[in-house]
Amino acid sequence: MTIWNLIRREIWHSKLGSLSTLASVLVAIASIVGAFTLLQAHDVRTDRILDKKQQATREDMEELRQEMRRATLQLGFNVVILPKGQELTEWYNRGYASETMPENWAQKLAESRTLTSIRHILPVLQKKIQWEDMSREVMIRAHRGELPLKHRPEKPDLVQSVPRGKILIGHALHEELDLSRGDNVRIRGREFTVEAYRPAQGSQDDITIWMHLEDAQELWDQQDRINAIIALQCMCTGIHFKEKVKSQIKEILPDAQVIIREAKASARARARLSTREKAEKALKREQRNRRKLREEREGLAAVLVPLVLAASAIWIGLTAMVNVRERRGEIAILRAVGLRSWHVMSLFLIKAAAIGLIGGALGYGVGFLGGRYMEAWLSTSAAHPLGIGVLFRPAVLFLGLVLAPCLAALAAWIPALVAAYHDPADILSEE
Amino acid sequence: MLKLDQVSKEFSAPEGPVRAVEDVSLQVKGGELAAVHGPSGCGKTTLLLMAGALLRPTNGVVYVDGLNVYASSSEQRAEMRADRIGFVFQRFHLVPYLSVLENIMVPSMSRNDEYVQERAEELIEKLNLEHRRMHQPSALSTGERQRTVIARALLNRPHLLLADEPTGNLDERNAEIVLSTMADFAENGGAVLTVSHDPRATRYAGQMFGMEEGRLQEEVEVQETRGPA
Repeated sequence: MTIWNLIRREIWHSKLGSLSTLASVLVAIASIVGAFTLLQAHDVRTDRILDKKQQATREDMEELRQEMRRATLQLGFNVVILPKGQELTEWYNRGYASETMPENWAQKLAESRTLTSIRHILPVLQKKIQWEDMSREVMIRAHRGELPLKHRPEKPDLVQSVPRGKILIGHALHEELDLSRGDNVRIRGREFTVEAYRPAQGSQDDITIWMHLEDAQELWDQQDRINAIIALQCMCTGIHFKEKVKSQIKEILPDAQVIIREAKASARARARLSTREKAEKALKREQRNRRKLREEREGLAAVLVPLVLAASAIWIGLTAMVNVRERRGEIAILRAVGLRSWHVMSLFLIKAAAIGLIGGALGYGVGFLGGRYMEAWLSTSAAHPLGIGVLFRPAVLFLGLVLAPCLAALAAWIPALVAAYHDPADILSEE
Repeated sequence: MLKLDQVSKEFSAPEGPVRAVEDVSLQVKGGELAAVHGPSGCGKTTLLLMAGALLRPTNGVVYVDGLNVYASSSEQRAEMRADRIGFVFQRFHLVPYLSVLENIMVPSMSRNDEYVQERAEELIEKLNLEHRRMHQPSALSTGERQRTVIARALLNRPHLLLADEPTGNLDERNAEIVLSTMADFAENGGAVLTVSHDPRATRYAGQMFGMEEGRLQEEVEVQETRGPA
């Protein structure tokens, strides 16, 4: 005969009391595991929702980036930097600036570390002239190609420089003057060879001649001078890009003025940027809402779980006390036949712990499934419960299986002490 | 084996202290069966509990096997009960959810004895309980319950057997079995102290004491009267 046999038989004998203890432990562990599983499921679902939204945002952003790339390619140069003293009325009327500035201003921009809002810097010297040899007015635009930005990743140039002594002509000039590749022409007394003609643009470009900057500077005796720097804004600067572009340039070139041409593409870009900001805000709002919801659930669990634990412990203690009361005669005879007080105490503690272990295992199952389904039910009516494998944590199972016997044994501690120190003489002398 | 030296027990009560046992001295040696006879409430059970290391006397000394019982700790007294003393109670105090065999083996929980089951089976056979071996107490007759209690008391081969009204509720046949078993125990060198108001309990007694209002009245020498009258 062992203590374990006695406990096993007694549990079976006092089914109601044992079931009552079992139910209490089950409820306690189910509430803890349920709360834990619900919060964990909440976290997993939050991650999934946010991942989905982030993925959608990423896809939108990638699409936006592609659109922006296409748009900026269509946009052409839209930032014009002019000398500060240039009359804008004159510039708009004539199509070029009469004031000039040092060519190295463009180099300053290209070498700046702080200039992040523009790319593709092109210093130019342009003038509208009467082409006497051809008896017509043309626009001369001269440059030596884009300046590489020293502190930015290299990008393919939007325009190519024209070799010295060569010119590139607009489509109208090609057609109207019957000029083609290889033809020689004279401009201000100097001979140039037609390198190529450009396809029709439907703009002033059709009557424009492109040449090397140094050729133009020599033609007008304006060495190292330019009258405009044109550039392309970077669409990465957010919807307030205009202010940013202007402030960055003026910081480097305080004696310059900046004009940003609004274009359909940039308006569209602005709209897309605004969409991105809205998407990011929506994502942050969702994160905030989920966090708040979790805090609410956590707060509720922090109140409910200890209450349930306390109620369960009290109930287990009362049940154990009733059991002790009912078994007074048995305890007395066990003591009379020589069982020590710790033997008697262990009868009650081991019994409570054994029932606790079974209650803990069942409570884990109930709590796990309950928390899993409840989270799905609380999420939305259409949400499916998350997978068991996703939510299963061995540590929680271990915690449940350890906590349950401990809770039951602790709750039964006082009744067990009472039983252990029952004076057998009191009971036996009642005869 | 058992010696009570001027043992008294006083209980406190709302009406004032109650002296349940007063200046009792007696001695039961190995091989002796002593009976204390007296009416209900005269202090017999209190005397037995003090003799059985279960109730500390207010005054006096109890010796079992020459050891001063109440000079030792509670845990040592429990060990003493397990090793040296067997109890038989009128109300049996059997564990209701254990079988006869298991009830008999309950005292073995406090010791490590590999032959305990063998010993329990021997006692079952000796006390004619074979057919009830796996039955629970609720299925037993009063006599069978008392025989089970006797077997339980004898399991650990005690030196001293204490019996409180062992035949009180028994018919003649069962009373005879119980009394003869106790007598056999005494004959084999054990000491038996039984308290009872049942005159049948005195049949096998070598010494008989009368008890009234907590005092032993007289010691009556009993002749060899073994067996039913």
